[in-house]
Amino acid sequence: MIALRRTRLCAVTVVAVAALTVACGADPQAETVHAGREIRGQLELLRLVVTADRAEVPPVPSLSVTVRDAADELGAAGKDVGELTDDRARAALASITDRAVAVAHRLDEGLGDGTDEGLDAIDAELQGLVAELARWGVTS
Amino acid sequence: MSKKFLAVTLGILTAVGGFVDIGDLVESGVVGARYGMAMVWVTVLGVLGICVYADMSGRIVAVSGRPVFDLIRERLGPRMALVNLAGSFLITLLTVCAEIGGVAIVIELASGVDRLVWVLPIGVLIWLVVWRVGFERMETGFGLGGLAIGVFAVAVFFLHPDWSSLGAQVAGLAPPPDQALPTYAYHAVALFASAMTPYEVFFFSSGGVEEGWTVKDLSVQRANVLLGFPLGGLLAIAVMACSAIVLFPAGVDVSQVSQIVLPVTLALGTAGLVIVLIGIFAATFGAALETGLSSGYMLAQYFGWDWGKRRAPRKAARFHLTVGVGLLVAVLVVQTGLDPVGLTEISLIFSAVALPLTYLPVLIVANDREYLGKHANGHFSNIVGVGMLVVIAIAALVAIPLMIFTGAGQ
Repeated sequence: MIALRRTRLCAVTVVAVAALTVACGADPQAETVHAGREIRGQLELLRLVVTADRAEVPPVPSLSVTVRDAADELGAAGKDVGELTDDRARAALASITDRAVAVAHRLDEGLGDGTDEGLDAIDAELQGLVAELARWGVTS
Repeated sequence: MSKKFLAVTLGILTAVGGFVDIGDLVESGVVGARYGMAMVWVTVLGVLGICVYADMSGRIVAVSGRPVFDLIRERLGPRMALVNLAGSFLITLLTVCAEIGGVAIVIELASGVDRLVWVLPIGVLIWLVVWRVGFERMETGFGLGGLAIGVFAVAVFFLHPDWSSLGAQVAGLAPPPDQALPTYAYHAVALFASAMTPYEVFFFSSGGVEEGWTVKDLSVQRANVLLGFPLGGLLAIAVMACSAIVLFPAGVDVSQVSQIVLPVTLALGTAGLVIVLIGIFAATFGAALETGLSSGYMLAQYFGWDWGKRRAPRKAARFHLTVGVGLLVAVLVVQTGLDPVGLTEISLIFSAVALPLTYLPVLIVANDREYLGKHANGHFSNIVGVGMLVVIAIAALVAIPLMIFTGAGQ
């Protein structure tokens, strides 16, 4: 009798966990925020590079590698975005990702002779992309 | 007196600089960016564990004059020792790969040239150092070089953190509300394993034999362990703090070594960057030497071959061949382009699984009065040792399920 109860309890638990997993996985808003967070993290990382004290931190190879790595990570995040179930969110985040990758590449090319004005313009673009993500609920 | 003091100081500094390897560096950076300082307790626990078991290993070597693995085979039999050997050898080989990948990344960060270009030359250089450089010179040189990682601690102050916020994170212990508990547990296991990687015990005990420790050296080796390792643990916490101050508030998930270095660059500029790259190079290159040698130590000690750097290579040919082949395999694995950070994470999780295979036999041998006489474990060592073994067993049991359930901590 006890064994039967245990079996039922286990079955109910498994079904509940499965249902919860499916429910969580199917929440479009949660999916969007999850995918957006990775993009936002890389945008903030690029902002850290751009807003560094330019007298103290000249364009050394390590920063170029950081920017290239960020571009790679954004590319990987783009794949997650492609799996979003909400069509509008997918299109918006894909657009943001594409523009972020483009900015990262420009930044990589511009680090060597980056003027203050150029870097400030890139920072403004990055801030704009972060603001766009915020409109989709990606705020942290 | 002053000569002995110098020797003790040098030993402690070497232990401090040699404590941090690619595993500590990556995992401390990852958890700092993800959870702030909430996982300091895990590093403290790991340091306590490695201190207790390294002390036991040191006593075993100093009293018996034989390395731990040798005694494990004799005390527990060849079958049990073979299980230990299989698990520890594969994990150590995986760790060699991660360390070589780490060295390659450092050179990429310094030069801007793709890391894969550097993998083969690094492998050759490691082999040359193993072949040509004396044990003590090698250990001291790279251990002291690794002290440059202390620049993370300097950077913490130059980043002008909100100390009360950092303190609250340390005291908070739990993950931030928006982070899942299983992922937190996964990273806790990986961070714990980074402090207690199995190769450390094999290298430490084999190194004791290489350096000819006796009972007279017990106080010196104990000072190295009980002061050097905790101070090394502080370096790992400094890496975590840099990520917690700069990357955590920005919501950056660390997935590259370049991201771990960034806070030091932002705080201290080019000078800080140069120092941190020297430190990481010394730490990862030194650990690659240690893991490479450890793979040879394990096999040679199990099969009863002549081994060690104190013997001419032609007198310990099978040992040197094993080390060389191990390095070659590691170079080929890294050359495939596998992500070194991912490789490090996987090596840490599998290390966690293998931890009981390493540490249970050490505890058994350290309690055997036939081998250790009056230097066998006392009550305190046993209570802490058994307590740590329970933690180790839990970490080993949950490591793989957590890796699968969380998608390797994603």
